[in-house]
Amino acid sequence: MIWDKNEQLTRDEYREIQQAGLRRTVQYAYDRVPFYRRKMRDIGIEPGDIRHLEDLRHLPLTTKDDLRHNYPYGLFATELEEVVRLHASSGTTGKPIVVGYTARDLENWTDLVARMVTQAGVTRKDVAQICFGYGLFTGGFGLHYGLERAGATVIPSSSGNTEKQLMLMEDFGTTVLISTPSYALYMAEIATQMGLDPAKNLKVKLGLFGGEPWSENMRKEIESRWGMTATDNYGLSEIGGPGFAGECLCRCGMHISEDHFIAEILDRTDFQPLEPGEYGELVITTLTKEALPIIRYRTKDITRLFTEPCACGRTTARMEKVTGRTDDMLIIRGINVFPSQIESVLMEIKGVSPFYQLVVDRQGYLDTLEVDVELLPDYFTDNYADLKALEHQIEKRLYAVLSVTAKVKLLEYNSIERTTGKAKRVIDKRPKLV
Amino acid sequence: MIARQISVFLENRPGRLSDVLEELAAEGINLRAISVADTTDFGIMRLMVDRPAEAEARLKAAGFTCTINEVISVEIPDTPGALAKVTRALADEGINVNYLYPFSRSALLLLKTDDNKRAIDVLGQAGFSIVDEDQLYRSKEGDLVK
Repeated sequence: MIWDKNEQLTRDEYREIQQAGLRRTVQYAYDRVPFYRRKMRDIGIEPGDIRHLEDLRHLPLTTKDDLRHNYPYGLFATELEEVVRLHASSGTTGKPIVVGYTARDLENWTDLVARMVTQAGVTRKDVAQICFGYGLFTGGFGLHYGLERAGATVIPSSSGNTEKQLMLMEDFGTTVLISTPSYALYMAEIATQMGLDPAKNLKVKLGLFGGEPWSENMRKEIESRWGMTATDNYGLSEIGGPGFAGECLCRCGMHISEDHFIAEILDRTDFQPLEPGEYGELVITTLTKEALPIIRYRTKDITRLFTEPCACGRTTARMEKVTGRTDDMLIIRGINVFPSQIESVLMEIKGVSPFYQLVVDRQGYLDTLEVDVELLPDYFTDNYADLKALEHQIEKRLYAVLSVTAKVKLLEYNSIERTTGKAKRVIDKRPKLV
Repeated sequence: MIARQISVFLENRPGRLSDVLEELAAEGINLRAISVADTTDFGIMRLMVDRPAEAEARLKAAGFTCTINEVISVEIPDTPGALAKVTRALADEGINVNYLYPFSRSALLLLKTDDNKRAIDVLGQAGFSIVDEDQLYRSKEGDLVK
């Protein structure tokens, strides 16, 4: 089933919608958001200069740091009284990125997610269990309202307590699983320990996975363990959350909702637009957002686009699975973690040096994060308990900032290599994406 | 009386104990007692040496994180219950013992390794004598200690 007639327009029609949307958005942002006005004036551009879709390339790029510097409401285009919901995602340091939604933004978002889950095969007959955290993260609430609109029966079980999740899944007859791909594998493992074979004893036949990059091999593994069809979707809080792109059952790329967004692929070095099929950084412009319009947001995710019509009947452009990042962001159990966030925590702690190393690994199917820090010689006493207390203090502080459990390991002073160049801060031992 | 002990902060990785001991050997420093607690990622190595100040200087110069601190050295008779009397006396006064370890004037070492069988072969081949369990509890004259 196809949710919206806007999924089957001609390429020319998308072009017209996007061109009109771009003009409108640029004028709107220029009029209402001082940040955009200043950035455009700095390079001598007026909204009237942006007439064609191709003119998009002349507009300045927006980064996560721009959102951070305007924390919390600096980039909002509406008064707070028009904003009915806030969500947040991790920033590059202590403070998060805040995103706001007007009532109409929520309406559009819900519809986009309904479109996305429908293209993945969800129908009114399905019972969908959402194992994303409900809260500031856009995943939980985003999928929740979209699935409801698509007519599915929603179980808002949120994240954690895997045994209970599986019990509900068995008792309520869950047919659709919403989670990160690694949590799906972890759940299968726990199910096996509980004496359940997910492929035989559970009714889950479809999975919608997002929040972290995953490989085709991981897809095969999930599908064989669960006896389900596993689909990928992509979104990020900065542009509104899930609903930007998702796979149909052909699974030949994620359909982008081009009537609400413009997706560009830019060269990683000169930031010039690339043709469909070429790999580069995905840059997104929103066309319908009222509270937080975003012009040319650098996702830092590497992918490529396809524009040929899909066998499913949709004509929207598709993006390939994300294959990498242009920055050092880590995704640990679906949560974005920047080394700079960890660094700022360590800087606050007395007793450790500014040199650190992050070791990311996977135990079973779950990511682990170890933070290795050097103990300053002056802070060493003969007391083992003091050292353990220092480790726990750092672990607690890291959890407060990252929302991810990290294990802290104290090292001897000078044991992390000093370098004059770019420090190798991250050792990622997880299997590479294929 | 109060005696000076050197405590060294050590990451738990192969070779780190040897690194410390070789530094001390190079300085001609003699060890009289040593304690390394069971650890996870890191541990504290505690040493009693004949020249503590020089040992500390040498280790610091070699980049080790170490500190000199004070412990009590108590002479106890080699009889059953002697140690219990020490700990009881402290306990009755509400004094907590953080750790204790023996200081032996003849050097006999107890080791727990990943692979005890192989360690015995390796040490034997390196020319060390391995003492049987029943020998441990005999006095020098060969009588079983009562």
